[in-house]
Amino acid sequence: MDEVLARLEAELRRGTLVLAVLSGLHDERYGYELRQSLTEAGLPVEEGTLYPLLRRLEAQGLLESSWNTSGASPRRYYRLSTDGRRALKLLTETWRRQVTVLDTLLEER
Amino acid sequence: MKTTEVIDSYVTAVGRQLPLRRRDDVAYELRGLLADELAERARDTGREPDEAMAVELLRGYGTPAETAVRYHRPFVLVPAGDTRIFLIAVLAGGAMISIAGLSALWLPAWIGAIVVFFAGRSLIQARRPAAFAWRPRRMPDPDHASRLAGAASIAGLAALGAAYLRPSMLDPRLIYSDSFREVWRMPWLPVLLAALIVVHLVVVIRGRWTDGLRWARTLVTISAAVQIGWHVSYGDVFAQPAVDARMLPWLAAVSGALMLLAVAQLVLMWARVRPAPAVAPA
Repeated sequence: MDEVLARLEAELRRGTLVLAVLSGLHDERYGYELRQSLTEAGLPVEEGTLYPLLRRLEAQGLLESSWNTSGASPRRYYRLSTDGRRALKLLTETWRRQVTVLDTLLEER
Repeated sequence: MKTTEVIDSYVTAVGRQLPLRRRDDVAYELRGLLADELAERARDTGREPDEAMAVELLRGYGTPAETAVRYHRPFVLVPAGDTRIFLIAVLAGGAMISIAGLSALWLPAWIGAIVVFFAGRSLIQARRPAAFAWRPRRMPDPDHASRLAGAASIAGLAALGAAYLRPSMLDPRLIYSDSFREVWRMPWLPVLLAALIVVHLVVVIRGRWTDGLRWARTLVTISAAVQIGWHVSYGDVFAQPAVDARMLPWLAAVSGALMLLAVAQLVLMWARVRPAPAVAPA
């Protein structure tokens, strides 16, 4: 049962991950830096999940990226695209509605 | 092994499983990120990064194949939802090849054809999902029985019985041997035909099939197939050996066809969906 609960919790958290990532990319960041900031904010994300997600969001047109090769280690920086900002606005509204609905449902217990 | 070599080995393995146009760029980024992760782990543990630490980090990341799948959804030959029907198609084809006595080489050819079919379907599905969108279909009542078809079946079975009892009506050379006329050989097939006629008669009167009637039909069909097959293997069915030699392969084919028919009937019974609760409601 513990495994089932852990999986359910992971699924619940995974559902919020895209919103969290988009919210963290108003300013450009590279993958490791974003993961650090999410962890510090209280949302630890597995690196194996986050880095491919950035690529997928970019392929979907929600993120833009560019290489910075001037430093000691080259880094690919991501930021929201125009569509990404629209997606963030939409997902934020959806999230707030969901929270309100779920709060109501949970309080009815 | 140096930690950079461990990371490069992993990144190369991931990159090999990515599309050509993306692999170098993803590998380049992944290498930098993994180096950052390893440095963080070294800071957290308070020791210098080494091979064991790098391997542990990368194992936690997943196998290279798992990581590659997160970056790029690969083309799927047989989608998970089609696996069951794929296996049934492979097994059914294998059984048909075996029953037909074809060379074993037909089996890989059949499996190859099935894989190509499913891969093509998967490709179209990935590019044009609407092509395979579900559409409602009118479902005929599976228990409904056409009385006309039932009457035709009875007439056909009766004609078959008559031809079996008097084959010389069809061709004067079709005369049974004395051995075949004995009580333990010839008379039993008409008994089965009579049983099948009774089954169809009940269906015609009721206008519906039931599970019991379906089972009776299938069991009689199997019995007939086995009995004809036994007559063929025993031989000496017709009085003239030349007629025997010409007719027995045809009888063997009839036996095989009846067995296939029975298998098809069983598959249809097995595959039928009957919405019902698994546990009787309290």
